[in-house]
Amino acid sequence: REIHHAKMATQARGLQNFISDLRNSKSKEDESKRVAKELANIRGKFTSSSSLSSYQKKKYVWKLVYIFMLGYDVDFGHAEVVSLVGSAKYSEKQVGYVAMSLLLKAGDSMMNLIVNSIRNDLVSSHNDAHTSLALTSIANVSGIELMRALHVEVQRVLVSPNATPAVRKKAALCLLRLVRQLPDSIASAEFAPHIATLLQDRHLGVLTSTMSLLIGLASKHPAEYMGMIPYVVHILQALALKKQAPPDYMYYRTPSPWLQIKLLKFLQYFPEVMMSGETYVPTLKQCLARILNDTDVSDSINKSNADHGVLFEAISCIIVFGPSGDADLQTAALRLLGKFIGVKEPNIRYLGLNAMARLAGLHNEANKEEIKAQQNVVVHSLKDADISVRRRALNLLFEMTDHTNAESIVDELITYLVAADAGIREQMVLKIAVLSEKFTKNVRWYVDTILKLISISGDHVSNDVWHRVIVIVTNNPQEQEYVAETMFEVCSSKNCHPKAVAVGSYVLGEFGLLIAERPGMSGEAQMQVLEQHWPLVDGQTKGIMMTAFAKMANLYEEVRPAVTAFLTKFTGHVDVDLQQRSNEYLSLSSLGPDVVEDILREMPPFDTQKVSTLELALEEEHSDTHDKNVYKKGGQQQEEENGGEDEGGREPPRGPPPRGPPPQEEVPNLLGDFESTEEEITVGVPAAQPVVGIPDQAAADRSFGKMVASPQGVLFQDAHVQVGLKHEYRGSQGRIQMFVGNMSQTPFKNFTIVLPLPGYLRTDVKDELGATKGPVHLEVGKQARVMIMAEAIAPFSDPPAFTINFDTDASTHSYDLKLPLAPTSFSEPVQVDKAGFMGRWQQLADKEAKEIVTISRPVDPSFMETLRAAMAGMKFAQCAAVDGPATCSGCGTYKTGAKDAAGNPISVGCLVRMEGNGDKFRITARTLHPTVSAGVLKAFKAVVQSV
Amino acid sequence: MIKSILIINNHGAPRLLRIYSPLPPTVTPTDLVRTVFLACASRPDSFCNYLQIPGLESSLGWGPINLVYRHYATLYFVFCVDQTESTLGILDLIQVLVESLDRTFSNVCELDLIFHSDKVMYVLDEIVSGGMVLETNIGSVLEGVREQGKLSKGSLRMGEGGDEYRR
Repeated sequence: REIHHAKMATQARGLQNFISDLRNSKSKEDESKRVAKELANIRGKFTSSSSLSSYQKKKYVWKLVYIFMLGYDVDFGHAEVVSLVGSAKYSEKQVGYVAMSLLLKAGDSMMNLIVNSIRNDLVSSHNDAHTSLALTSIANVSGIELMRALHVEVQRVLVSPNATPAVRKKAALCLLRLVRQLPDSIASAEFAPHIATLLQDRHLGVLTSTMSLLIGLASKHPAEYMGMIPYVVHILQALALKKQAPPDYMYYRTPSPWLQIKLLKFLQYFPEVMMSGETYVPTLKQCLARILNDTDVSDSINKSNADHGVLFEAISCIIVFGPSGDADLQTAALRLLGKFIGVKEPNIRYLGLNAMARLAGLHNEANKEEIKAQQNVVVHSLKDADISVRRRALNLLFEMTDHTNAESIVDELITYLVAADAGIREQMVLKIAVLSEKFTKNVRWYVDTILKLISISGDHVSNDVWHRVIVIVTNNPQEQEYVAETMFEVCSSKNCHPKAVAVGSYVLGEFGLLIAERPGMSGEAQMQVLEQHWPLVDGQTKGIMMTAFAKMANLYEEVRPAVTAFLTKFTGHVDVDLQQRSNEYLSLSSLGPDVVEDILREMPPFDTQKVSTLELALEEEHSDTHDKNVYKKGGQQQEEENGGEDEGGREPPRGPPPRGPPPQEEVPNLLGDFESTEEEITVGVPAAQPVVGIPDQAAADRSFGKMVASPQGVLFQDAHVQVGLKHEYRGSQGRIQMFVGNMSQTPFKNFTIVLPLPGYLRTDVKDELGATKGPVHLEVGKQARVMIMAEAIAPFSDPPAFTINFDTDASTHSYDLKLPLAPTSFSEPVQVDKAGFMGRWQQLADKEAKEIVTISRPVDPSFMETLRAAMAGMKFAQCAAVDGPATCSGCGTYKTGAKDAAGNPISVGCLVRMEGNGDKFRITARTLHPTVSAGVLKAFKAVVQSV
Repeated sequence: MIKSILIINNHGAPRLLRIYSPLPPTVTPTDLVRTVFLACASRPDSFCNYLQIPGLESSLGWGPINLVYRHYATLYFVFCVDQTESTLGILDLIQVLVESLDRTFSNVCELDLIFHSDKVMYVLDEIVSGGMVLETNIGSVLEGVREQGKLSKGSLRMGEGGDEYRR
């Protein structure tokens, strides 16, 4: 057979021999050696001065391709590939293009050399074969520089009336690749009519490719492509209802299932379509009903795959249309799914579970009961031998849980967890923890569940999980006694899991007092129970345990000597955290009893408004790739996805996870450290009288944001003090005037303005009163004026901070404020047109700073108007040509007084884009300098949040 | 989108490797082949044709990936796709690829893929382009490949004389 093949070969004999050699190698090492030898040989040929014949060049490049496909690194030969692509002969071009799409990577320097040859093949060769080769390889390489250089040509080929179907379908996919990389390169409004023309093509191959392109486009701007729906429904009607398709496109008697799937996928971007009352709605309904009713299980596996592929897509469609769709269709879909999750065929069962999980994820009351009725069937799949099926089943169980069935599902999951393999355990633990927390009011059951989790699979229980237990127990005082008792019993066992010890240490430290009167559970007993685990637990738990002991020593007279002895052992310990804790706790006794009492008081309740960290952890699993996924949980998240749709971009949709105690606490509770032991712990002696700080930080931040964009105003104000500000800039220089007025009824004593001006500014400060130099007296109704002349001399991102301190008769005041200075302050507007903006935007792609911020009210035209005005105030020129209704882009130059080597002032070009969506705003700053990017971002963020 | 297509034999040797979404620098093609092969080969044919490898997903940075694979005699055909692809549709696409290869080589076997990797590549490029389905009609696919073959031979004759190729 092998000889026969060698005879038949179209490839060069040298390559055949090489392949045979590799096949004959006895081991992987042999093969590697042979490959290395061949690579050296080829490298020698390529670098030698004698020129290679066309045949040799092709042969060696094919060898490189073959070696690459075996998984070896090939990092040379690019020049030869370039020369093959540029050849006039088809055979050389063909090899060149295939090699290029495999060996060259985006960003290779050779890419620029190749562009002209490709352009030539695209437009001026008038040779379909050459054009096809060029299109295929552009799509496959996906180099951004190729795309930028050639996208106009590709568009032209696609819409050219002379293009053959073979060329057209390749051009469509090529353009899709482009849209993914440069989303703004196609103006939707102008391009939509071309798509409409393409959708009337009779060639199903062209239609399939066009639909891929259309889905790519619509995923970014659905509204712009609404007009395509009638065409899409029309094609669907021909395929699904009339079963019209050329015989070639019948796949196992189904008319092009791929095209049908794509048509149905597209429709899912328009969930409200069924309500629109358009003339195509009844047709669409008919199509969906036909697909749902006509699909029967076929004996041919391929026929069954094709039909079910279409069927599942139709079900997806119905799921996405949701309550706005047709109730009969929904019932039918649900019935089918119920059937599928019980069948033997693993593929269908897998997809059935998957689709039902999506349906359950919509939390639609109408379907809830029917889905819940399937619980036993789903649990059965949880025990399937195939992990893929098990994962789907777990996911579905998770989605179908609510208050009524949470306890039974969680108990079921825990039973299964004992036997579950490592591949799925971690996911299960996280899901059980989330479910048990989310759906039960029964704290005892919740704590017992987590303890079971720890004992069955403690290694998979992340810190987040047990931290939540602490939060919930702390916030439910009525259960603290029960939990303390339970933890005491759990920790009494010698084999208790270290994570349980961590929980036990915290709980007994905080709530041990509640059970201390019980027989056998005295403070002493509690300490012993914990201390027996000391050698086996990690550093963090040791810290918690030490803190618990310190709290016990404070509560129970009789354990004090034992605790002191224990702590003394660690005063010189190698672990710095333990050393510091032990020393500090030991020195506590030297402070007054009131202070000790204060420091060792139990933790205040946690802020429950915030989202559970566990749900955030789960959400990270639901991230997205290129095309917007229409099945994001709950449907309502679709909108915000628009904000973060760039390649691989995923932003956690909500704020940072809750950490530690709530911030409003005045006296630092030094035991509030169970989440982070790295924080510095200092025993602070409380001041003689309370220090009054900024009463409402959010309001202060808003004023700061307003001041960034306006030349004068009030930076901060409360009942005692008002800080007014006036600032103006010219290029790199600015003059900032600050007025601090005493608004209270008493004079300010020890009034100081601590103004540590940073190194990025060259400054000159004038201060009549001298408050920046030392404490002064400020009478009622009087102002202290400070004038700062500043010149920017370096990139910066954080505004200069300053502090205002003073004493009144009753209180001490200290306000930490920021001067509203940003790189934007020293900026000059730059007017650019659309092409100029986009060009620079792409050039600076690698120096970007980006953040999604949540704003207090929805983005509407008046919001955008204010924002645009603010941008003008920040001396950025708006580039309206690239903006839509909810975006705002601008361009400016950050001027500095620093000089470059030639003596010219250095300035940094800055671009910014703000894209609003719902109550989210994505702000992206791109400048030549990363620090400036960060600074510009911060400035605009402050402004956006202040609008 | 189809992120990558792999054909791997029963012993884990790659027979075709096509990557449409660039790999991160930390993952070599060999790593990809090995991970995918180990995951597929450990599954009996009675299991479903879908697979997720959470560890691979995080190291590739491609987001959630479904592996859709089919096992034919000595070869695994594996498509790594994102969540926007219909998994059953991909399963059919694998069948189209295999049938196209079968007709190109009249009863394809592993040796064909080894000694005619160029042709396999041409066939694949007619079916998938840049990670998207280009053509599903086997007739058109073969037509495209044939056209290319003719052109290639034609340009050989015009050029330096075909005798350098042992046909």
